[in-house]
Amino acid sequence: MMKKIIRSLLLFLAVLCLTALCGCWDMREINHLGLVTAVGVDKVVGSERFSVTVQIANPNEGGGGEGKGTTKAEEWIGTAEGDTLFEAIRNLSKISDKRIMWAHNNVVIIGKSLAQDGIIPVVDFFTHNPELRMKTAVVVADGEAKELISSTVGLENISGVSFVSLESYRGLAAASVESHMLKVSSDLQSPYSSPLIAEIRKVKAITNTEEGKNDEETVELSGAAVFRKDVMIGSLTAQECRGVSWILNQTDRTLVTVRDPQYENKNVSVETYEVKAKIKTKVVKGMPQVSIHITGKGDIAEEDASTNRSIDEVKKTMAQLVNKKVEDEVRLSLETIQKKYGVDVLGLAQVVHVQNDKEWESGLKDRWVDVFPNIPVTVTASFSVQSSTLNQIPMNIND
Amino acid sequence: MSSDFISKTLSSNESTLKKIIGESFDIQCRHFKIPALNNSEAFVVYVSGLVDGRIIDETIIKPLILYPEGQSELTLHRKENRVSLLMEKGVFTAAAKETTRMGEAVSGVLEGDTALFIDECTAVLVLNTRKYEGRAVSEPVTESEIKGPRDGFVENIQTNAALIRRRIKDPGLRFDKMTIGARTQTTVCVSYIDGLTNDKLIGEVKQRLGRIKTDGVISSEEIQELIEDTPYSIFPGIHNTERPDKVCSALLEGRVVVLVDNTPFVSIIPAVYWEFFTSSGDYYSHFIYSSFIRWIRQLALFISISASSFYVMLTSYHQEMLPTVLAMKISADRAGVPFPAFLEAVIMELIIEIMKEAGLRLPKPIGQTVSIVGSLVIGQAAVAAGLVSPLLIIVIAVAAISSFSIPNFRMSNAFQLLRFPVLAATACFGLLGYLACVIVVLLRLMSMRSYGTPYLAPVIPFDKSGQKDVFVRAPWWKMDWRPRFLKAKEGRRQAPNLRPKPPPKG
Repeated sequence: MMKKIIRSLLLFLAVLCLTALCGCWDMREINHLGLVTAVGVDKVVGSERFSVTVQIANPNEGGGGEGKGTTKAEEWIGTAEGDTLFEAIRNLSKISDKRIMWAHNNVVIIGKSLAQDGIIPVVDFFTHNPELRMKTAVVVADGEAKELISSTVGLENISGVSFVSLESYRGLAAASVESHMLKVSSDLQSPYSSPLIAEIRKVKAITNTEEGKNDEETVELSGAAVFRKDVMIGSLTAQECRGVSWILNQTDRTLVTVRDPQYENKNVSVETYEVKAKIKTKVVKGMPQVSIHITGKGDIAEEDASTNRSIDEVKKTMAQLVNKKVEDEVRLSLETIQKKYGVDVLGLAQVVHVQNDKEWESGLKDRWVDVFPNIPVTVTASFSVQSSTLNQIPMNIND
Repeated sequence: MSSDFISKTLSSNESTLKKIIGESFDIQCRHFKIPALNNSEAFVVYVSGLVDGRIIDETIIKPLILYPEGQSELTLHRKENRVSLLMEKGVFTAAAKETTRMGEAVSGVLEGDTALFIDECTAVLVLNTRKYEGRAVSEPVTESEIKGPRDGFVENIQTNAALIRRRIKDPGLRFDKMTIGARTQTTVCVSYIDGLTNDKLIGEVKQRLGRIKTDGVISSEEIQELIEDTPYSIFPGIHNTERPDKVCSALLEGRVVVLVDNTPFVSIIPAVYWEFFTSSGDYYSHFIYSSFIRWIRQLALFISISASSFYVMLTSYHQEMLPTVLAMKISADRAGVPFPAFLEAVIMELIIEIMKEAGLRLPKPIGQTVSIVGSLVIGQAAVAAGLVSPLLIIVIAVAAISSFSIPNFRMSNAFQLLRFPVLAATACFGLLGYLACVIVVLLRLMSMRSYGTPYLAPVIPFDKSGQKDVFVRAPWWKMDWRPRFLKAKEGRRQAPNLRPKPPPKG
């Protein structure tokens, strides 16, 4: 009996020691962590060193403890340098009183000079780090990343957080492209395609704040950086990005503005939806041929002129105009990508491979990089204009 | 005791009685003469608090004294037969029995019977004159329902048996009486429906009750602890209710119930885990709503054991699992808090437990003070002082509220207690610790059984027809069969195709 008691007591002690002596080895209180919301990577001018700038949310001020609602945006920005990225990041802890945590990072901003030098160190580090999510947005700064990190974005308090919202509404204007860490790293690792990374830049925007400041600088997401493998070789304009968005199904509710030649050349805006692009490829005599077909629907959202045509007539005309506009946009960006840069940033290689496996394996894959600029692409769009939303007829002023 | 038999002389009987039950103030002895028996000396003995005095007056003493002297019929007979003669013609009491043993007479008296001793007789009449002073049948406190009957069991076993009988008029309904407790002589009834309930189950219950050799039984919980399958388990192995309707539906399903005198709680055997999350109200509301509520209860259960653990887990280990904005909010809330999240949570959990206990113990008028002091002063002030984060107060409060939505008190207690080991494991190992703890609890539940029934039946082992009354409550016309795990003698409980339909056309 006594033995049994001692034995169970020992077991209890052992379990107690097991749990208590490990001392909560992995415990990190959330208030001791510096939550990185945005990180910028630059090349130090005139040297091989990296400069890392992190934006850390400072919730002590931003959170508003006693139910006061929102207070002024507060974030802490720190910069450190190092021979490697990791060294630079470790050097950050010299100046940060909180342990830096990457799990809540929203965006990795790459400075233009670094992008032109090669982005492999950045992609490598951030895909090695288990704390970082592969869905983190990657953008190239038009200028220094450091500068863009410290500028404000939109209305939100923490600019890293607001960047996510900026990214999520990208499809509305379709002025840029989707680029997250997973996509960038897989494009980089594929021998046939190259990454296309969204660009951000500072613009002047008229804003009215409580302090009466207007004419503030804000961040704009538009355009995209074209890479040949890891080196940035140029940019697509916002206009050219629209074409890419159509092809890659990255936009749905966007806007197509057309001029109506039959009526005073006034502007008509059509809001699109249910947009879908289909890419069909075939290989004829070793030469791939690509046809892109874009379908969708649209509503007339704004009509600057009054007409007295019937609604069916208007719809028909508008559909033709929209089709032409979309085809033009797609052709424009294809032209730039194929002829000007000659790199497959659209991931067409994969589509061709999947649809023409035999030809791909029997030699096309080896010639792909050379063939790509000369692939003939036919673009067709067929939109149907559904209704003019609420107004069946345009505004009509009767005098 | 030299001899248990009744002696022939009245005075020696009286002195024997006094030796056995003493001269307590509530033991009354009334001497008189019976004219019809040649003015024989006689006395009645009873306990004044347990009897209805009017019954003694009207049905025993009055007829005996007023019986005319000249009635030769009574006197003619031999003296030994007088007692049975009185039984036949002398007293009016409905329930009566004759005995020659002193012990039987004494135990009758102590239960509220009146014993009639007559000179020169070796037998005694034990006449039922019991009266039960007790609480009237009222609404059950621990299991109140919005719809459904409002009566609850009381302390008196006779009333309780009557409450069941009134609902089930089946002639097979049995109340098998046992007496447990050498000193308390408590009446314990094993009730079941003969011809429906599995005989093995009845036998097992009786056998387990029979092996109880104890001094006294005060409550049904005592009996429960003595006959449970898994005495060390924190989860109740026997269901226990105050509601007669619940007991009756258990009987109709083929279960055995145990009634214990002086307790308003009746045990239902066997019990399975899921029943503790159903309430009789489920059967009185619309079945879709009842099913919804059952899910809500499971959710509440999850919240009550996991809320504080999740708080610790998310703030101390897995910050990446929080949405960014929430992470910042929590970080801001915790900014000034000097304790680690675990300590913070344990302190608040303990305060909640103390408040619950204090609220229970305090007299009602002061109880309000506790709730004000507890909720306002401690909650508000602790946050204002920066000792705990406001989010934790919400978490703890939600967990505490959730724990009350488990209908059964014992089950609710079990899970309230389980919060602490879960919290500790989570604080040590994060999500892994939490999961390990949950798995241990699940294993425990799976290994339990109650009178041969697996505790998680009918989910584990899975029985398709049993699912109609676990996570959802099927409409009545669908529940054609009794729970299979009870192995009742009659499986079917109603005719098939009871679903109401419009009459055929034409």
